[in-house]
Amino acid sequence: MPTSDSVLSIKNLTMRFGGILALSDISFNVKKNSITAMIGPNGAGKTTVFNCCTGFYIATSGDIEFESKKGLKEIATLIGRDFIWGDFISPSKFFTKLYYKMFSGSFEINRIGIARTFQNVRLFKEMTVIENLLVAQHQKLNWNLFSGTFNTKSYQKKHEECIDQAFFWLDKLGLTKDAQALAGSLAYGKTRRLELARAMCTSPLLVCLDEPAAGLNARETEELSGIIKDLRDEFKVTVFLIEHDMRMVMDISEKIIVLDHGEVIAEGAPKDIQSNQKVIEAYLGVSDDEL
Amino acid sequence: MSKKESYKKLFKQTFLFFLVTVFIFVPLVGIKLLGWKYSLRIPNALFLIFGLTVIRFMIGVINLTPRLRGPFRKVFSQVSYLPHVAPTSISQRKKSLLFLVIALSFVLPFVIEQYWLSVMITALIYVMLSLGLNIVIGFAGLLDLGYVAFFAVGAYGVALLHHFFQIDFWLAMPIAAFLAMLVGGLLAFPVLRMHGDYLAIVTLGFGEIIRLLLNNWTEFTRGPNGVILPRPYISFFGIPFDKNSPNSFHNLLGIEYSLSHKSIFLYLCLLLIVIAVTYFCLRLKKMPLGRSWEALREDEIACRSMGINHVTIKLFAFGLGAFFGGIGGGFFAALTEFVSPSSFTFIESALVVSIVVLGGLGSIPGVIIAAVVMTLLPEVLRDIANVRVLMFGVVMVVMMIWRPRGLTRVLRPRFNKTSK
Repeated sequence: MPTSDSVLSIKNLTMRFGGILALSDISFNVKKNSITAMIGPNGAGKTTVFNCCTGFYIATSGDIEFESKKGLKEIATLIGRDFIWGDFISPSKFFTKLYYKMFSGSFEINRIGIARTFQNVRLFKEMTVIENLLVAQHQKLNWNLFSGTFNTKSYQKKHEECIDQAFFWLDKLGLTKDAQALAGSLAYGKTRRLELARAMCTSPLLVCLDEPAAGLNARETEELSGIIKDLRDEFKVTVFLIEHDMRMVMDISEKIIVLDHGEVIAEGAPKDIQSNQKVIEAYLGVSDDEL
Repeated sequence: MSKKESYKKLFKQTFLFFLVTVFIFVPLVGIKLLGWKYSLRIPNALFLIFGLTVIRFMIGVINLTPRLRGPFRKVFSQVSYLPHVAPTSISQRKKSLLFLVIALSFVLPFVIEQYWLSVMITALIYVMLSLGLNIVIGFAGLLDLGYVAFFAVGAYGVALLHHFFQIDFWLAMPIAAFLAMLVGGLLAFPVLRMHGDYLAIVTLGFGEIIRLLLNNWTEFTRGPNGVILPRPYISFFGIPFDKNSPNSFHNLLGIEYSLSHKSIFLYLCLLLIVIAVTYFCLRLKKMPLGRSWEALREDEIACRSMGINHVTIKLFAFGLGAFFGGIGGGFFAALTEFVSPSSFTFIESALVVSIVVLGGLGSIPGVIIAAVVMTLLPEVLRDIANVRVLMFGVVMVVMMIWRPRGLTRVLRPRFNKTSK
């Protein structure tokens, strides 16, 4: 059941791609100010859940409710659900849907406070690191073309604040030296961190990390674990992540959700998951020596 | 491979090259058609064939001689040309060079003759168009092959506003530019979901639609006859450049009447607007709008996950690009004092796209240089009109091999931490 302290609650989410059932009727909550991990074998539907949460897919059925600063928001409604016959009878429903369909889109999801990173890093490669972070802060900036052209005082002030904010996150993630480098020229480990910094620059309440430790070595993974913990403790951000690195997942997360074939087969604290027979069979293998 | 073998290979390649040149140049250069008859000009063809074969052979020899190869490759190798980040401060040399260029362009109309002045005005119009298209292609990464449509809307807007309402240029030009912006926004709506090739095809079609509309809607646009503006059309903010009217420009100033007054005035106005637009485009790179465009070009999905409304900023890109195209069109109408659909064919769009690509997508100085060069080059080469098109093609091919990412490197702005 959704509790008052959950920031994201997924209710009976079903996602169908043609004849393929990617997610079948899954429900779970993400607790506010916690680190929740989602694990599962390849093709279990983890990234699909993420894409539904961050507005890239519209779920076939089910609700995803997010506790934003402006109240409870339902994600699929915000992007614009498809019309059903019932809408044509009730004008208010029709026009709300039409409004969302016309003027809203996946970009609204970030504006209510959900940021994400991608499994295959998506940076603005031909822009500098600092510019990448400034793009993320576009909402705080003054978009007026005249004040921008003539570089007015108020414009400058906001711009400088954003630059400082960007440098703050670069510092936090150890990228200060690369501030003026092109994002495309960074080493792989750094691109991962930059993507995290960019997501944080949008000042989210919930940050969804899609395999943040993929391709990182043991030391880098450890650093990342530290950073993710900091996000929760210091910046009061809820972290929701997909990860295959079991050591990291067991180390940092408070709650683990295990997905297999589009269904939640287990959820609970790391300890319970480790000893859950179903999980061991489905994902961790028959022997649990690796843990 | 031993030296002997590689020379053997070179001879073989040169022979093949020779055969290809024979195949091309004997029919092309060696035979001159005179109506139904023809005359042979084999020596000309042979000269070209042997000349090119020798050059090909020399290049092969240079490539096989280690001592010559190094410097040769240095000059002719491809430059990868990634964008680079702006230095902390602009060097004094660059500043003075910029100042010199601006000062020269202001002095220019007073020293060159009428013909070259109108060529320069055309060049400035193309700079204007290229800056506008650079927003759409270079910044936002939307390949627009129908840009001439906005140019046409601007030109026809000015011409028809005069034709129907006798509105003066200085009022008609902004109206026409806003009209072009509106048309740009209208075009953008259906193509918002498209990318790359599909977008190119739709915009290409849109350009043709506008031209056909101008051609066939005879009651409104006067069709292929075009719209004739009075001469002189442009006025010095209300004071005409007429020869005979008592309160015209030269009478008020008490100077001798000259045809070039009008052109000089047009040139200077256009120059000021181009400088303003250039400054605006340079600023755009540091403004959230421009930055969002570039982010959109790099990765649309990441953009959406950052909360950027990709729909509105695409609309803005098309609208603003079209606005500048409309200004260019307005000045084109003022320059030629006659507009007809034949001025707005696809080849114009193609020319502006090639200017933007040659200049380096998103690089403002590069685009300006390319626009000036591409409009002046055909005029300079008018004396050798026979090979003009060939030269043009060669320049383009060489550019694409040598500098595939355009004339100049794209400059990324630098943002330093504020010293607080």
